[in-house]
Amino acid sequence: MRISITLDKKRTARRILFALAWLLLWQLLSLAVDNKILLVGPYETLLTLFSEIGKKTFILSLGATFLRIAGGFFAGLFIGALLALCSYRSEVFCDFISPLVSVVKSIPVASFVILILIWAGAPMLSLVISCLVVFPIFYLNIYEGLKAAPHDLLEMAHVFGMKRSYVFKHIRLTSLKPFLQSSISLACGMAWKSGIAAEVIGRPAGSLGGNIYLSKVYLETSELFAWTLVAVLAAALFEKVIKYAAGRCLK
Amino acid sequence: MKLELCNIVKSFGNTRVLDDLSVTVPESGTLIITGASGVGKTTLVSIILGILKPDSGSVTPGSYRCSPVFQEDRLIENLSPADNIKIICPSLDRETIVSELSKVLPPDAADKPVSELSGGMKRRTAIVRACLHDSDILVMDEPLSGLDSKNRQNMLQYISVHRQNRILVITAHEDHYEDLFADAVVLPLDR
Repeated sequence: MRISITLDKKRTARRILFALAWLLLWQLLSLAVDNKILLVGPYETLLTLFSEIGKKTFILSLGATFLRIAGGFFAGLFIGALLALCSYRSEVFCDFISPLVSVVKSIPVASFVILILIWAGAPMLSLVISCLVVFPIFYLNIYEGLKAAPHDLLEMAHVFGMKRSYVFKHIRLTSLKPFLQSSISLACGMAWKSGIAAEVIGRPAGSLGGNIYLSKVYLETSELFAWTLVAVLAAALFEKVIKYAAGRCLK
Repeated sequence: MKLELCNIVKSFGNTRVLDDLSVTVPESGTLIITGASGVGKTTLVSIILGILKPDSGSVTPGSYRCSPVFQEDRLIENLSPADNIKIICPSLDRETIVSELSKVLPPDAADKPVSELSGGMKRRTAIVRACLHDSDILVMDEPLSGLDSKNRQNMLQYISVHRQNRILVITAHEDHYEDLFADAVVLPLDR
C-alpha cells in the first residue's frame, strides 16, 4: 500500500514537472519568435484571459456555449440510447437505421455545419452539431453493450422470472458499463471540438466560438489562445462532471 | 399437478437428439433422467424449462413455474450468494436466506462476492437458490457435479427436504439417485 502511494506521488510530481517544462518551452519559443501575431506565450495568454474574465460578455459567451454543447451531448445520448435499444429489440429496425448512422458518422462536420446554417440558422448550430457527432458514438457503443449481455444469465433470469429492474441493474448494466464509460470519454471530447468548430463557422452571437473567430479577424492571437484555453478547461470540467455522475449512476 | 411429455422429438441439424420420447411424472413425483454425455439430457431439461421448443410433441401442463439448477452455476459473479438469491426470491427476508446458506456454506461465505467462492460453493449456492425459489417444478441438471462425496450427501439431503411437494426433475451422468428417491420414474436416454 505504502509503496503504491509513493509511486503515485512520484508519478504526479513527474507529470507536473513535465507540464511546467512544456509551458517553459512555449514561453521560450514565443520569445524567440518575438511576434505577437504569430505566437504569444503562456504569460500573455493568461494576462489576456484574466482581462477577459472581468468582462460581462465572458460569462455570457461561456454559459451560452456550455449550455448548447451540453444540450447537444445529452440529446445525442438520449437519441443514441433510444435507437440502440430499438435496434437491439428489432433486427429489422437495426438494418433500417444502420445506413443513417453510417452516413452521419462519415459526413464531415463542416458539411453538416453549412447544412444546419441553411436549415436552422446559427443560434442552435453547436447544439445540433454536438448532438449529430455524439449520437453515433452512443448508438454504436450502447448497441454493442446490449449485445454483450451474457446470454446464459439472461436465460437464467427469464426462467426464474426475475424482475425487469433487477435484470437491467444486475445483468445488463454490468455489461453496458465498459461500453458506456469509453463512449462518454470519447463523446465529451468530440462534442466540444465539433461544437466550437461549428460556432467558429456559424458565429452565433455571444458564443465562445464566435469570440475565437473575432480574435482571428482582428489578428488578436493572445485572445485566440485565451479563448482556446477557456474551451479546453470547460471541456475538461464537463468531462470530469459527466464521468463522476456516470460513475455514481453505474455503481 | 403432474408433468406429461408426449412424443417429444428434437433435432439439431441432421442429428435427432430426442426421438418420440414420452414420460409422465405423477404429482410430487421425481423424474431421473440418466445417460452418458451427449445423449440429450440437457436438451430434455431445456424443453421442460421452456428454453427450447420441441420439433413435435407436447409438454403438459402448458404453463408452470420452474426453479432450475443449470449445468453451469449461472450466478451473478459480483453479487454475494445472499444477493443472488434475494434478487430471485424478493419476498424472502435476508435473514432467512443467510440462515439457509449457512447450512451448506462456510460462515461468512454468504456475504462474499460469488467470484471469490470455490466451484463447489458456487454449485451449492445454485442449488439453494433453486430450492428457495417458489415454483411448481425443480429442474436440476447434474446438480452434484464438482462436489465431494460429503457435500453430495449434504446437498441431496438438502434437496429432499426443500423440494416440498414439488415435482423434481434431475439428470444423472454418474450419480445414482434411485436409492434416495425410491418412487422415482427413471428415464434412461441413449442413442
